[in-house]
Amino acid sequence: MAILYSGQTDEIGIINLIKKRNSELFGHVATEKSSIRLIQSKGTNLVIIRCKLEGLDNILSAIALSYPPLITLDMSGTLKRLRKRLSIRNELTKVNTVDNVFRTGDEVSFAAPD
Amino acid sequence: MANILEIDILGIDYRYKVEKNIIYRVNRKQLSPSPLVASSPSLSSSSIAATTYPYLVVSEKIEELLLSSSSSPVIDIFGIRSFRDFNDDLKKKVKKKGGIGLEVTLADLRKSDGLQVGKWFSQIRDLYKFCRSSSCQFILSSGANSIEEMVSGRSFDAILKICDIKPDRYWQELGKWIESKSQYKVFINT
Repeated sequence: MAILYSGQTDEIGIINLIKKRNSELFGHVATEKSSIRLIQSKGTNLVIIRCKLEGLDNILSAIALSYPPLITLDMSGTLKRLRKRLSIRNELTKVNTVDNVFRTGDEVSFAAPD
Repeated sequence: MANILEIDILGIDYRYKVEKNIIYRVNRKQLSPSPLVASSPSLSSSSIAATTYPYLVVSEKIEELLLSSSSSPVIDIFGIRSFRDFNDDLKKKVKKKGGIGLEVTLADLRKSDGLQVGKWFSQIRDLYKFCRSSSCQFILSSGANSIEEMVSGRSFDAILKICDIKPDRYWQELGKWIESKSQYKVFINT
């Protein structure tokens, strides 16, 4: 999933923030089972993470309830599709570096319903 | 941004600029006399409140909530800032009024610790049950003051699921409620 963040926090900080909030809300075991991983972060204020489908709702809630605020911009089962979707929305998001964030064809281990 | 986050209609503060797919949140009834009212003095006072944009009156003041009645509502949405204040007495009074929207926001919750958020989930479950039994509308809002604080539709769904609320049902009910509340206030200048 693609997450937009603000402030001076780096991408590792964002992952830690999500993991910490998820652990607080749903426990350490659930957080570990969710396998939250950083995929890529090249753009300004945009980070791509992956997680297991089973923990998706928990992660989405943790993101929505985190501070500093984070926004789930989009999510997809594959990075290729995520790139495509974000490119279409690029004009609206004004995230000018989205195009360079992904490598085409990279697969991730979760699949979110469209 | 709302499109990206899969939000169809936004509720924002009115800043004298009308845009599409936005319901304006105001703190009191709009009193902009329309030509229709001027030409027909027999029209009721509720017609005077008609505007060219849809709006909902939002308040967090208990006094304003108590002033409202189902026949002449002072406010459309009551923002619950503290569940401690929303006690049984107030619930009884709200139940009698019916049809009012009870709004809770996520903005303040972001800074709360896990324990408080856990408790909040439980309070939301109870509030939703109360809303269903009292024909009030439960409203979960981001309470965003900036774009960064906006919450995506999918995240809302996830939070609703955790609170044992079916997202489809919730959005359907909310859509109908918003339509019924805001529609009669819009004066279309034809």
